[in-house]
Amino acid sequence: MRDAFDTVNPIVAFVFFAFALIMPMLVMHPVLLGISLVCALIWLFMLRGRKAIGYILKFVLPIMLLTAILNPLFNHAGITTLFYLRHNPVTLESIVYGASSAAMLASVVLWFACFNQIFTSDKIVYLLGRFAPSISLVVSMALRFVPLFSRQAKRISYAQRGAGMGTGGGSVIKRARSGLSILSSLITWGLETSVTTADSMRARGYGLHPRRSFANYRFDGRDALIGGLLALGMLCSALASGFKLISIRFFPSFKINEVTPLFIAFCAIYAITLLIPVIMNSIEAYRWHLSRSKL
Amino acid sequence: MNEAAHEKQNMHDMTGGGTDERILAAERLRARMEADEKKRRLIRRIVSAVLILVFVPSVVLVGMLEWHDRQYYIVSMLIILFSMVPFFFVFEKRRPRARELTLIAVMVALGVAGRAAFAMLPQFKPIAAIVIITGVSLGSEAGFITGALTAFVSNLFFGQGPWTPWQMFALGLIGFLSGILFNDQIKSKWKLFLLCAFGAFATVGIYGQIMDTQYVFSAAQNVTWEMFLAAYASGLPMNLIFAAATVFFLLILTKPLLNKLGRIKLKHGVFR
Repeated sequence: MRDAFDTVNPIVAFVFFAFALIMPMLVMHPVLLGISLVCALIWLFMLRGRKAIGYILKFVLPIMLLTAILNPLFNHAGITTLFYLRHNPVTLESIVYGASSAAMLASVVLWFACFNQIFTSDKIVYLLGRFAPSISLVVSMALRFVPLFSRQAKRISYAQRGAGMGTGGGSVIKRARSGLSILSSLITWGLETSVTTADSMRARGYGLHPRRSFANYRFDGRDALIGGLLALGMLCSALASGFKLISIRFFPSFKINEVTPLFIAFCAIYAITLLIPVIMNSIEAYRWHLSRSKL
Repeated sequence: MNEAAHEKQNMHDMTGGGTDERILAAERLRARMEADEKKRRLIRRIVSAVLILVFVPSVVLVGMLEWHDRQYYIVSMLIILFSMVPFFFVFEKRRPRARELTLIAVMVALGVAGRAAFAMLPQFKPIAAIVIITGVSLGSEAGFITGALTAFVSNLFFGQGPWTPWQMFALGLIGFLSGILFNDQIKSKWKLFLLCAFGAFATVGIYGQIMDTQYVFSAAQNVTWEMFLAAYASGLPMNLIFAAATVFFLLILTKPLLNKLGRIKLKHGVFR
């Protein structure tokens, strides 16, 4: 099923991801990191289902482990020495810091995993096209050339086989050589095609007017609602860190802000902001359930 | 025959032994293009100077004062992003011709397809070799754009992450440097050897080091020299494979690819 957040205006979606990615990097607060991690995990499971487990085991866990282990080994700052490892102190603070930075890295990687599912190339080209038209044009053309090349490579291979220059069998060296000859004509063809494309673009008036990219995205009421929620979440985050509602210090001794009702309120706002896609998906699923039960 | 004389000869042939005026017009065009190139370089320098002298220190300052120091990760990522802006800005502002755009797009697609074709061998990919050859043949600006966009577009297939800006910067820098250090007259074995040596250095010394530095900044608050050494040591095997791949692909691709690109440049008068 298509993810509900997939249909949101790319600009709003981009701001959401920027917020989700920058917050853990800026504020390495264990509670906020935990919230961010959980929200990213729930959404990733919604997006990728069981495949998410393999991704986490293969990719996210090793990064976390490495970071959590490396920090106490190399960083001896902090005043609470737990034990000595080869005459080097291992401190509680650096273990806590290692765990926090592992959580930070993991949540950044997980949010990026969600980003990769939502931000398909058309959305990226749309976003880039607004302030870097030439670059976005190169990106979209390169994306188009990749499948074109593989198709043409197949054609060249058939043609060579038809001409009696077999590419199917033979020793490794023979196959490598025929592969190289395919590559060679492919590159020549690709370069020549690029000029043909450029001439065709010029003939259609490229460069005469500022270029606009194809966009299938409107900014509707739902986008405004999500944007407003996001803005509220960002404002609260700025205020919370401005008024020292959230503060954290790892070295020399671990110190964290007190848990006040305001802090809990902020955590709730932060969680709701990050859960926007999950909430949207749940509403969608509920609607689906309702419309099905009516039948 | 040097390039200018070659051009003159070409012009002469095309016009069927044409008049001196046409040759003079071609010379004038060439002089104007060179003046444009100088202007572009100046703009790039000014933009880079403003960014490096104003933006980068202010980012570091904000990092120190507002974010309580030692926010290495976000500060270093912002600096990497800022240092790419001048290249893209100048490229965008000079409104590149359609032929330049399509040619760069083809080189990017080649790099991406190459990375996909060798995806089953870890780190054994022709990406850096193709970026280096592009820089050598099409010049430093095209080299930077091709390198940075190859990293970006291939990550659309392999997954974007916090590493994307760093990869873009590292590959862009490799393309930029190869455009500055070499011209496309790589005829002798000695020159090819030098290019391969540069390729090996670029993958280990530039790409590998930038990516390992990225890891240290992402993971640690109190950065120490031992951490960098440990990260470089643990990254070295992968970087060496990448370097071997780059040298291998440079050896087999440099001559044919430079020939083909040279032919396109000569035939269609692009990137000269």
